[in-house]
Amino acid sequence: MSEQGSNEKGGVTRWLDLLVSARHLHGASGNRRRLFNRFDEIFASPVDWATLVWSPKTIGVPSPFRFKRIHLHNWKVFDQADFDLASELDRPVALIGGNNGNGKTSILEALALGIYGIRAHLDRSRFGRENSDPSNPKRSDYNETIERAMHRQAFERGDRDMSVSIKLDTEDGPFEIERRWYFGDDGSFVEEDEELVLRIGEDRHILSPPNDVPSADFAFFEIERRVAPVSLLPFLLFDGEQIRRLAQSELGEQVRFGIESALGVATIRALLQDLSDYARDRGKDVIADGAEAALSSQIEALSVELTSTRRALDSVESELDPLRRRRDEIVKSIGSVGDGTYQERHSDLELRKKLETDLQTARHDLLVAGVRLLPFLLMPASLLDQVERALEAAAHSTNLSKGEDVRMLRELISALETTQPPLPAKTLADMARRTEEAWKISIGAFREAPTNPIHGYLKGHDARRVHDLIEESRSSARREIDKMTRRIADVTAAIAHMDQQEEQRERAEKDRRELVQELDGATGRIADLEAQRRHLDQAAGKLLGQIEPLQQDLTRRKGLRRSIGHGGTGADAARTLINALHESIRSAMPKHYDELAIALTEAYRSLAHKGVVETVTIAEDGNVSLLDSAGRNLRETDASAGENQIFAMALIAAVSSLGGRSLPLVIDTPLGRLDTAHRERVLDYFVRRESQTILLSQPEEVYGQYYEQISHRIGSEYRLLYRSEGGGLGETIVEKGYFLRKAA
Amino acid sequence: MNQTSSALQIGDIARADFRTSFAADSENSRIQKSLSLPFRYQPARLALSLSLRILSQPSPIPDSGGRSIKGDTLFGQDEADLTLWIALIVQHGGQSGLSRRAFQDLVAAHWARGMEIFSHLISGVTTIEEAFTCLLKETHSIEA
Repeated sequence: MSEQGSNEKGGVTRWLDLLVSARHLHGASGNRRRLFNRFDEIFASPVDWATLVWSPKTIGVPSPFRFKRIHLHNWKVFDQADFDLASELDRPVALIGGNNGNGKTSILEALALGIYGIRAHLDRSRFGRENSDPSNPKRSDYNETIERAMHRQAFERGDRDMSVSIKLDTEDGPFEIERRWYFGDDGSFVEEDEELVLRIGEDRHILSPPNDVPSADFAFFEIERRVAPVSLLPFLLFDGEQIRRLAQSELGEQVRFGIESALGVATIRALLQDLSDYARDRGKDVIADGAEAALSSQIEALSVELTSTRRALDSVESELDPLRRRRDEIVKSIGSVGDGTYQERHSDLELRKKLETDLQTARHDLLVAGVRLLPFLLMPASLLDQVERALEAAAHSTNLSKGEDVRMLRELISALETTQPPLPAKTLADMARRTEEAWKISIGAFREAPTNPIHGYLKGHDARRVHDLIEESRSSARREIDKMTRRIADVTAAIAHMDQQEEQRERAEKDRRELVQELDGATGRIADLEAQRRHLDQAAGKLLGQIEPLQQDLTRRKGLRRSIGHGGTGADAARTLINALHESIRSAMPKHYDELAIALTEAYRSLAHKGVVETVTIAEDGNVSLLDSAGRNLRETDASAGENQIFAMALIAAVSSLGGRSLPLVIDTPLGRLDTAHRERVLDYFVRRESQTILLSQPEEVYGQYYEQISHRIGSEYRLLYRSEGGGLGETIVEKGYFLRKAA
Repeated sequence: MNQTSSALQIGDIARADFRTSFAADSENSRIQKSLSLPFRYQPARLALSLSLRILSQPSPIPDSGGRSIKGDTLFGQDEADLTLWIALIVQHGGQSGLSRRAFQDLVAAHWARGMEIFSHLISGVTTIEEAFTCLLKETHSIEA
C-alpha cells in the first residue's frame, strides 16, 4: 500500500494510511457522507493525533522508465493508433507531428488517463489543464471525460469499448498497463465499467493483488511504484498551456508546487482539504465569532471578484479559440493558394511575348498573301478563265511572231537527212516536201487564232509568265490563305489560354492577398486577446494569493476555538491532525530546496537565452533568487529577470530529474510560444537528456533547421493525418515518418 | 496626270497615276487604318477584286478627289503582276482599243464600287483575319 509515513515509528502512520485509503475509496463521489462516516470510525480510535507526522517519500524513488509502445483503440479521433517507440538508447527522442485538432493532445490525455485512470483526474493540481473546478474534482467529471473520449464513428457502428494500452520498459523489466472502458447503448459510462490489467515481464504475466488488498489500491500502488507518483504527472506530460499557467505564478509559488509534486504533498493536501471539510461538517454547532465573520466577508468579496475575473477570462478564451482556428485555416489556405514560382511566371511571360510576336508575323504573312491571292478567289471563275485563255493565246502568238516556226521546220527536215541508212535523195526530197506542207497547215491553224485585240498591249511582252502567274495563283490561293488563317487561329487560341491562366492566377493572388489581410487582422486580435488573458490570469492569480492566507487564518481560528470549546469529537481529532500535518509539511519542504535549486540552476542556465543568471537559490521561506556571477539578486534589479516561461520549463526539467532519476517527458507543442533563440536552446536541452522525450509537434513547429538540429537523436517518427469522411465526421490515421517538409 | 488617247501600253500604266473619288479614297484610308494595313494599295486591290466579280460595268465616279497612287504601286512592281491586273480589268471591260485615260477611268470606277462593297462586308471588323474571313464567305457565296 501507500508509503505515506512508512518510516514512522509507533504505528501511527497506519492511521494516516487508513485516512488516505478512505479518501481514495470514497472521496471522489459527490456524496461525502460515506467518507465522513469512515473518518468518524477512524477518529473514534484512541490515538494521540498530535504525534502523527507525515514524512515525504524519498526523492528518487521512481526509477527511470521508457515508453515502448502505445496503442489506442477507439480513443477520441483515433479509430486505431499504434506508436512503436522502442529505439536505441542514443536516440531517445520520438517525434509525432500533427496539425492542431489532429490528435496530439488526445495522445497526451490517453497517456495520463491510461496510466492513472481517475487518479490522474482527481489529483490534477491547480496548474492542471482541466476546465472543471480544480479544487473539487468529481468522479462525474471523470465519467464525462471518458464518455466524450469514445470515438464517435466507432460508437455509431456499434462498438461499445475503448482502450489505451501502454507498454513500458522499467527497471523491473517490461510493464504493461491496459485500461479498457465499456459504454452503455446510450453512450454512458459508469465506474464499474472500467477494467484495468497490469502485466509484467517478457511473458506478460498478469499482476494480481494479494487477498486482503482492494484491487484498485493495489494497481494504483504498483503503477506509482513502477512508473511515477501521480503527483509528478504535470512534470511527465505537459503542454504549452500548462507551462503558461505555471509561468504566471510567482517563482516561489512555482518552486513550492514543484517540490510538493516531487514529494507527493498533493495527496496530503487533498486529505487536509477533506479533513478540514469534515471538521467543519462535524462542528457546525459552533458559532463563528466577529473576526471569523470579517474574514469570511473578505473571502466572500474576493471570491466574487475572482469569479467575475474568471468569467471575463472565459469570455476572452471563447473568442480566442475560434480566432485561432480561423488563423490556422487561413495559414493552411495560404499555403494551398500557390501563385507559381518566379521562374514559372517569367517563362510564361516570355512565352506570351513570343506568341504575340508569332501572331504579328502570322497576320503580316496573311496580309501579304491575302492581298496577292484573295483576288483570285474573289473574282468570278469565268473572268479568270477568259484571261487565262487570252494569255495562253498571246504566249503562242508571241513565239510565232519571233520566227520560231521557220527555225523549227528547218531543224525537222535536217533531222530527216541524217537517218541511217541514208534515204535515197528522191525519197528524202518527197518527205521534206510533205513535212513542210503538214507544218504549214498546223502553223496556219495558230495564225488563225491570233491574240484577242483587246489585249493588244501584250504585244512584245512575256505573256507566258503572266499566264503561269494566274494559273499558279488560282491553284494555290485557297490552300495558302486557309493555312495562314489556321495558323493565326492557333496562335490566338494559345494566347487566349494563357490569358485565362493569367486571369486565374490573378484571382488566386487576389484571394491570397485577402487571406493575408484577414490573417493580419486575426493575428492582431489574437495578440490583443492574449494580452488581455495574461492580464486577467495575473489578476486571478493575485486574488487567489490573497484568498489563500485568509482562508488559512479562518480555518486556524475556527480550529483553535473549537478545540478550546469542544473536546473529544472527530472534529477536534481532525483539527489536531490537520495542524500536525501542516507542521510536517512545513518542516519537510525546505530540506529539499537545496537539491531542487542545484537542478534548477543547471536547467535554467541551459534554457535561458540571456546567460547572466549564474545560480538559482531557494531560501528557507521558499523565496527564489536569481544570482549573477557577483552574487547580486537579479530579481531585485531587473523586473524581466527570470523569463517566467523559461523558468517554468526549467522547473519541469529540474523536478523530473531530481534524485538523478531523469524521467521521460511527453511534451505537446513544446515550442509554440517561444522566440527563435529560445526554440533552439529548449530543443537542444530536451533532446540532450538521456531519458526519453516524446515531442508532439505541429509541422510548422519542428521543421527545417529545428528538425536537423534534433534528427540525430530521433528514434521514431510518426505523423497524424486527419481524414474527413464527410458529414463532418473524420478520424486521424497514424503514418510512419515525419512530415515531408521537414527537409524544406 | 498625263492625259492622252494613245493605245494602252504596259509601261505607261506602270508610270501613270490612279485615283478614285474622294469618298472612296477616304473609305480606303479608314479601312487601312482600322485593319492596320501598312499600304494604301492593299485595300485598293481588294476593292478592285470585289468590283470585278460583278459582271456589269461600274458607274463613272462623280469626282477624282482621291489621292493618287502610281500604277506600279497599285498593281505591283513585277511586270507579270502589273500585266495580269491590266488583263483582268481589260477583259472585264471587253472593249478593244482602250486608251490609257479610259483605263484610268475604269480603274477609278472599279475602285470606288469595290470600296463600297468592301466597306459593307467588313463593317465592325477589326483584324485582318476577320476581314479575310468575311471576304472568303463572300467567295463561297459566289461559288455557290
